[in-house]
Amino acid sequence: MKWNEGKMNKIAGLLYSAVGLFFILVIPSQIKNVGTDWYNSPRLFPYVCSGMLAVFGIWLVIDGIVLDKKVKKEDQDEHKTTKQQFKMVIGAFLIMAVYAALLPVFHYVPCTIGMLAGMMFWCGQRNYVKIGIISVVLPVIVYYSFKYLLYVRLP
Amino acid sequence: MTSLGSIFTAFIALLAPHNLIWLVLGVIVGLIMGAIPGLTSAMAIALIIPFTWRLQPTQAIPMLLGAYNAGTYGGSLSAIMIGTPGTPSAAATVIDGYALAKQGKVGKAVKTALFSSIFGCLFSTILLCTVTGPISKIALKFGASEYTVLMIFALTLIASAAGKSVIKGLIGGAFGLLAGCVGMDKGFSMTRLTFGNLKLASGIELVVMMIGLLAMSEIFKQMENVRDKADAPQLPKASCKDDDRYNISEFKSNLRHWLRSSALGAGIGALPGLGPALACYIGYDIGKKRAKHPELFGKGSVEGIACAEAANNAVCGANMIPLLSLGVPGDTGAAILMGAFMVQGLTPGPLVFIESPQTVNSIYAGLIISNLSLMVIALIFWRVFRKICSAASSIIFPCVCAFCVIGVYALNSSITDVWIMLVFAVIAYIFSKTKVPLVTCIIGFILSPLFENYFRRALVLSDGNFGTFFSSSLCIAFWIITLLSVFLVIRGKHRDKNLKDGM
Repeated sequence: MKWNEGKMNKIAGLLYSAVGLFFILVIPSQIKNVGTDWYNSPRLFPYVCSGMLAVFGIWLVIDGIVLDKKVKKEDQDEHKTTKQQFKMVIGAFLIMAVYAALLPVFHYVPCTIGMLAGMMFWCGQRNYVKIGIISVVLPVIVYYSFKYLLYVRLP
Repeated sequence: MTSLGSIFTAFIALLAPHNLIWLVLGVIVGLIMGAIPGLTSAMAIALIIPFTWRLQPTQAIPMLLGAYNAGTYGGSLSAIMIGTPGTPSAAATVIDGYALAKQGKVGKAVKTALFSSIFGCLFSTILLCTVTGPISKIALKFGASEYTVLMIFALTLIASAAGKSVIKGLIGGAFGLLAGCVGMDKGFSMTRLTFGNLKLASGIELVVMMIGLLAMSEIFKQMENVRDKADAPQLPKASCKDDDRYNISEFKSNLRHWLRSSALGAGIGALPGLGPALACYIGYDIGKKRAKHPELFGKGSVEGIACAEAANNAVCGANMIPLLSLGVPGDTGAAILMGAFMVQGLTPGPLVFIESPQTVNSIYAGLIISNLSLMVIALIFWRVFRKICSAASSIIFPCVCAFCVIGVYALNSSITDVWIMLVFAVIAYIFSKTKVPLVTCIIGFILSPLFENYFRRALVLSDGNFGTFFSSSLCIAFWIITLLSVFLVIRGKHRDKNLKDGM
């Protein structure tokens, strides 16, 4: 995926202003109205922040349009991310998400062994001895250190 | 002013082996806990407290102070070596520390951070010994209005940290400010923006947000090309001996930064509620504005590390000022220390200097000797950390992920924190792809609850009269500093634009 600076600014600006508008719309349902002075209202600061986000998002869109008019697309900074790169990131995120989902269900040690082994393999490590040793030893050390030395409860 | 003779006596007493060993243990524990992302110096202190119940005050208090001080420095080790701040106070150190490490100059970065931290803490300890009384009187004059104007000044850091695109910096700042609103409203005790999630009612922890935003997102970015360098070490080796050394010339050039940042950090530490996370960014930002070569900041500048670390560790000593003189802790670590002090028979407050002068002297001596111990221990063991962090990328990144998860989980034993960390990691990845600086988001998040709290309190106390923000000389002074800061930012951006057009 290849974007020039102007196009990226326009898309990013739309995204951020949409987020800002979303929060402006949900604030009434998320924060009760307490009937106090406006400066002491719990809604004031969230409204101001989400309003700023929406306004700055629109400003970024305008900045992108102006940049496209002033500078030729070929002369603008380019931002490239290939499908393979996205795939690597999404894979890593999914491994972490599955790990977080399974942690409360299963014990810390087997979940972490699975996560470490899976992540190391995903990162391109093919030395199975290293994968085996590190993915087993590290969670065991961490578990016993936290449980018996630091008295921190783990899943 | 405390007599030098009594401090010297406490110093000598602390150097006795049966006292010194506990301080050294405290420093080691603090260093390790601070270096692991998510395990902060506050946690190090909390974990050491049970061990101190059977110790004498002259052993227990220096041990705790050693952990506090070393934990604050320890965060810079992971900030430099893996681009993840071990503690929130090391967030600004990541910017230049990690960049310098990527150039093969890990040793230089670590030593710069170490000497800067020691200078900062010693500076504030000397202030603590000499001017606790006058500083605490000034701190008492800070009301809600003064704090609000101070927060407005701090918000100008967002524009300053925005880099090339001010708009994107402001977007990051606005998002951080909004994220800081999640949780319980302090005025009316009602939930805000929690979307029905009970865990979010207590707000988003700074550590969780920071690990997600900085550490996990950096790992996701590195994941893009990790297979191309699966077996390559994550940190390049030093190309020459000078890469691991801290030179006299660097010492001389950093000295003015140390003095300035330490003074700033001490000022922020003397004010309750602000903390070292804010100090490191303010120290870094002002150091950048005053540097001869500000364009080098962010690309591995030794001065950048010096400014951030001197400021954040200066908070350690200065935090004792409101704690001892007023009985008000400056940050979370100081709050836990206060509890520990009370267990040891020391009641912080105005009478502490009369009721427990020997214990107060052990605090002064403990802070000084903990810095010296930290220097020796860090210089010996930093290579061990580097060895660990120099493992292949395909090994180090998964291990860092595991530590991030355990560090975040250990805060509140809550899996929700892990999910929040992952959400922020995704947000930060999108920010990095759209070139929104993450620093502005963190600054906004830190300042959000502080600014809103003081702003509302000031207006409630003045019945909605905005004149309260101009009512005292401290307020006027901070307004002038704020306007000066904005002027410097605009001038800097204008100069950058002229340079770019001139090219």
